Amino acid sequence: MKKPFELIEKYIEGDLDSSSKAEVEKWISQDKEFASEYRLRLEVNQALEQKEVMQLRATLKDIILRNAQQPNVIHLFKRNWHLVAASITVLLVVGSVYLGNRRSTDSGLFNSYYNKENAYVSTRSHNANFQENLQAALQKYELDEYDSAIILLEDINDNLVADYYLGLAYIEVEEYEKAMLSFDRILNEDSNLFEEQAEWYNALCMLKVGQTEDAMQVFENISESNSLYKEDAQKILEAIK
Amino acid sequence: MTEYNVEEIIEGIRQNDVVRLDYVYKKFYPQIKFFVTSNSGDEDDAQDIFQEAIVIIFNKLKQNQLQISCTFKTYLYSVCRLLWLKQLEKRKIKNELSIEKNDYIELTDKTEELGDRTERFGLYQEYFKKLSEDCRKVLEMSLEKIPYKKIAVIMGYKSDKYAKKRKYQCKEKLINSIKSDPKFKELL
Repeated sequence: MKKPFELIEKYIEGDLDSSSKAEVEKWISQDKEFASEYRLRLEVNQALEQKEVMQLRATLKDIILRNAQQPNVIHLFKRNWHLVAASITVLLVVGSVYLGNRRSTDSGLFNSYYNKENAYVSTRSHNANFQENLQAALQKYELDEYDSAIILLEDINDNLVADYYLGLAYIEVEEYEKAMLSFDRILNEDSNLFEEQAEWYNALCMLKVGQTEDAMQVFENISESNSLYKEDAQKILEAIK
Repeated sequence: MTEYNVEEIIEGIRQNDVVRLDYVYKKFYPQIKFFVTSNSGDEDDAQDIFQEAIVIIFNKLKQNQLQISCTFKTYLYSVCRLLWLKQLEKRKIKNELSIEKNDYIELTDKTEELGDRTERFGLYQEYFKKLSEDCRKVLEMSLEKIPYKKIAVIMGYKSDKYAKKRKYQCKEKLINSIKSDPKFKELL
């Protein structure tokens, strides 16, 4: 006779009369399948009582997700960088012939060196809500719907990926001061994977808003570092001088 | 990056401190990833192993069973190494490690047993989180021994009988979901 497993739940709850209870105990001691079902249900209860472990798992998943996104963004960027750099060199040479006063030179340099970044849209789903919000924002960015992307990204706090694309979205809508605030948040964090990009775009924004001296100082720093943008920072400095 | 010593890291794990856990991930995960991906695993495997190892350390802490007489890096690596060897065994992959360049200690305590239990509990907890909100609440309250009359009031159910029935339904749903996962049989 197949023993009804639902009796196990009632047994665990203390809902059985003494004869049914004795029968269940007999099955647990004699029937392997029944005993294993009993152990499973007890263990599930114990697992559900581990609230701290569930919280720890959630924290770890968030950390893994947050960190896992960053190298992929950089990877994408680095992969495209050669193409961007090649086109910039041409633009710089042609552009420098026609540039007039300092302000238009700076603005021209910005236009030459600023290229829209592609958004990296992750497909991992460790934290559904966070992931959905970020994905939705990056999709808006990719569709050139920058105002919508900005609204969504402004709602995501304490996330470097969101800050990075928020800065880029502000550049696209020509709100350079706000872009600089986003990049500042990244630069105020301890060393992170967006640091080089944030420093570079921040300096380009400085050029655009006429903070040329400050921008030159940052380009000097970049040109003396091992940054991805080292050579281009040197070219910009030569063009400005 | 601020550096933390073993005691500070352990306290961070005990308190579920995001900053220190993030430090642990940034500082130690790369070598775990290198180890797993160099020995027949992929990045998802490495992330799972890292997470399970931290949960095992947390469980040991809670049971006052954690004794670290080496660096945290060596200890964490040793737990991950043990977990990955078990995974390779389950997957019937020859578990001779082709790449092994980090120091490790042979864990003499009940880490292996605790690892099996942690993995099973992880599966149960994963499916619990997938239940509807009302199911999760009813199960939680029933485990906290809150009387069904009170559960019925909190949940807006018509009677304590219905609250109890709902609890049974939710538990059955959870048990069936767990059993339908292919990993379940491997974990028994």
